[in-house]
Amino acid sequence: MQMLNRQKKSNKIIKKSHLLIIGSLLVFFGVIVLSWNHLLWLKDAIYSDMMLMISDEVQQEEIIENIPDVEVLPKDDENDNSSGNNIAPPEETQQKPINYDKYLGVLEIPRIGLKRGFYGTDSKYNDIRYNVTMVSGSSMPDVNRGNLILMAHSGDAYISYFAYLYRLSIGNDIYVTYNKVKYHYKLVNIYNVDKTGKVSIVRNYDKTTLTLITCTKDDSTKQTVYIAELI
Amino acid sequence: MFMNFFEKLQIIFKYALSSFLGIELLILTLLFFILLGLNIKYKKKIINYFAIIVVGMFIVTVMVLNKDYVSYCIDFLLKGIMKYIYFPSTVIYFSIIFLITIFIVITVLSKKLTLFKKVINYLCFGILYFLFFSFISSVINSGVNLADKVQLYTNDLILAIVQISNFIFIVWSIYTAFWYLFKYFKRKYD
Repeated sequence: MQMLNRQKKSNKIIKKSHLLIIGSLLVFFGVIVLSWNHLLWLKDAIYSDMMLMISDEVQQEEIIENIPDVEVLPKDDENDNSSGNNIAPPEETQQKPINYDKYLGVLEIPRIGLKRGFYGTDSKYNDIRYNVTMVSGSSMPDVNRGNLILMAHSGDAYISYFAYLYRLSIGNDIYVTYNKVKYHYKLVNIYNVDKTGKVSIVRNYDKTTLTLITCTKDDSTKQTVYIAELI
Repeated sequence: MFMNFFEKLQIIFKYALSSFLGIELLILTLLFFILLGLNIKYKKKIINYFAIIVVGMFIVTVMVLNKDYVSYCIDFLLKGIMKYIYFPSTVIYFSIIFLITIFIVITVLSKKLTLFKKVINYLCFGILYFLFFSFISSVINSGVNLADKVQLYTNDLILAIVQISNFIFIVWSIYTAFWYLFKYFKRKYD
């Protein structure tokens, strides 16, 4: 009778091994859930590094252009005014379509260890939900007196690429690589504006500038604008 | 920079005896070693617990004082592991397949594994082998250079095959680890 009771008891009671394994599983998945955001940020960083590697590789490939045939035309009696040999106009070459799936440029801020590619305004990846975003209407760094405007989130999310921008100070270096050329900027101005949906950019119109926009740290009502000038 | 073993030892001893701090560290380490060594004979549990607490506190103190660097180290380690998961080199991928082959042999020959575990193993390994052969055939068809990571992973099919393979391998590894842990708990507590 006692043996039967003991057997019944052992069937009803959850075994210690089961409890321990359930506890271990809970701890394991709990750690995963708590660090999910951070793991996504790391995954994003890895993908970004790979994309940078790919875009570096693509830029190093030689682009073989169709060299136009140069034809020397015989001297035409009717065109006595022509001086020397005439060069035939080159044949129209078919331009390579621009691949917007690759980075258009790379933003680098050594002071905060940021190196991030950005897409052109025509790319579907040019979206603040996924990347550092180029604002439409921006000029590329090779445009004299132009202004390249980039924006991104700040905060704790894995897409907060401008999270550490608040650590920058006047005089810090910023680099933008575009079309195999590395442009060197110096930070000249930092100011806050109210978050109204519109941002006023105050810059020197005689200089080529770079503008970075992000939300102000610890202030949900403002945005911070960073103005850098090309050296 | 190019020192032989004895020159390195010489430098370390010179440092250890050059300052009061160095001598102190050396004496404390020796005392700790003597204490634990003598405790093997006397078997006092309190000494063992004390030693564990001292070592633990030392590690925690160092970590707290250098928490930024510790967090950087953890990120670096995690990033390295995740890089091998998302964009492994072909050496790593082939090593995983080689490991899978060994596990298949163990599963086939093992008498201790339950039927359910064997079925799960055969299923996972079968899928991994299918993906591996698909990888080989797509590499040959597209003429991709196996040593060139960029060329390899700009091909969507190869990228998908490698990442799904790694995902299945990791899920199987986690399942196996917990299975063995459960067996251990059962043996010890039930």
